[in-house]
Amino acid sequence: MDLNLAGKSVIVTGGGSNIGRAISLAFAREGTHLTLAEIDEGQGRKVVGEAKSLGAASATLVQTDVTRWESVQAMVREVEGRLGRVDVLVNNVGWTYDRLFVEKERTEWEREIQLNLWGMINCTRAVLDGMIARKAGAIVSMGSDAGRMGEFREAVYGACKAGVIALSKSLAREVGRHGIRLNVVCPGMTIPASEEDFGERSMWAADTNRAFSTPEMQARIAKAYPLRRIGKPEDVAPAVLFLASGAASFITGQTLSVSGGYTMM
Amino acid sequence: MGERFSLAGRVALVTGAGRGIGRAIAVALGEAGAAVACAARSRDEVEAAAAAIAAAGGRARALRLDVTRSEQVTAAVEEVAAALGPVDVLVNNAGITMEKPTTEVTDEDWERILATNLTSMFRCARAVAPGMIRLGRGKIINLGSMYGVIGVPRYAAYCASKAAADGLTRSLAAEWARHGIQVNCLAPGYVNTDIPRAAMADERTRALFLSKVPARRIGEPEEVGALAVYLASSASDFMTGQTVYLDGGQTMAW
Repeated sequence: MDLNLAGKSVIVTGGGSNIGRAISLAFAREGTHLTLAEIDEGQGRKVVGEAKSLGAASATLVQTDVTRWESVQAMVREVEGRLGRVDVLVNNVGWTYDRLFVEKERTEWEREIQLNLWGMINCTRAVLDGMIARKAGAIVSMGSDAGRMGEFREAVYGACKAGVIALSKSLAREVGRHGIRLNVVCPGMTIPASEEDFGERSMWAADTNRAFSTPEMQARIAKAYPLRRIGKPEDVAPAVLFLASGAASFITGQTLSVSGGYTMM
Repeated sequence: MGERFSLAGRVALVTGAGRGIGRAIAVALGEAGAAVACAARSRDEVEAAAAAIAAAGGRARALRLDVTRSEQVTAAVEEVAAALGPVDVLVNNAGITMEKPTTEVTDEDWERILATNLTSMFRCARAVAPGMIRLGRGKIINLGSMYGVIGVPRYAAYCASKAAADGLTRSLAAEWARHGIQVNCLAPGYVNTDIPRAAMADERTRALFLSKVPARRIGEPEEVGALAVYLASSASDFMTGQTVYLDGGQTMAW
């Protein structure tokens, strides 16, 4: 099945690391005009290089802090100036500290809310005017099973992801009549395959999250998944591409868990 | 990414493939490269569906099948295996519906709808699973419905059967995950097939229907076909036990 994504203008936030990188490279293989809205310049440049060699019509890094409205506005203006439009926005930036709620510092909650929720609100708001004017657009945001079912050590993160889901649904109702679709993909735990696959600004570089990368920990976590393995970034990318494409033209307001059966609802 | 959505080398069995959504799914799977067994009660209709796939350059076989008959289901799965190869994609699409005040629904009405819509899914899944377990992979797609989650008056049996498709999907997904089988539920809203088309011929009914759909239109059978291809292909290998609503946003279940 051809997804007909060639030539589309696609923004992937946090497109330099882990799941974001896999999504970016998958869009690159489809021949899209890819914009990486990424805060980490070094990691962003690296992935832009990979995207070009994989067949992207163009690949551009626009250094962006999704928590800052001015930075997001400037990024979207740059893309619209350069390519004339945004066809697809992938809200991928995400962050969590692996810690119990009562042990977390308020500054850590605030960072989680900034990156997971404000980042998504800012980027979505910034692309909507153009999409409404053109009566077309697809927005795919990364949620989390933590936002659907709740999860230990992910209380505020889960609250943010539930917010991403609810915001997507409300907007799907508001802008459906303009031909704009919003959907959410919930990965399970998805650990980068190598140190090359994330930058120093990624959550995977934080000490508290590195513990997940040990083989013992991964084997323990895999047992919780009916498909008996931990997700890979490449597992998630096809779902995002499908929902972003015309193949999903009547699907909106939906939340898909692509997490090995961890969450079934 | 194209290859992740390809069904080349796969064998699909689609029940209720004679018309409407089932036929569109069969055609889409065929276009994506699968050999497709088109099964339904009406020989003329399945032969026409198989011919359409063959005319587009695909491989297909027509099968007469009453999904309420266990022995026919078993025989059909064997026939497909012999003709096309072991089934690695099952689309449980066969279904009937009926609008009637519940106080007037007879035992026979109820049982006929449950047997056709729900028990058939179990029968077909039970028949193909041993082969999928031997292959170490498989995809089962159960057709649910928006009616499985929204309360619709005068459709008690149909709504119950479609809600049950969700429960069946999750149980089978959990049971067969270890064998590399993914089971998901495809739940359409209003799609441009005979029954909704007839209902929407009336302009006031049409306006009322569409006022509830954020996309402000009904779906096309081809759009259901595209989702079926995703759920049948390796693109969805890490996804199981899920229900995907294809309804222009009318249902936004959590």
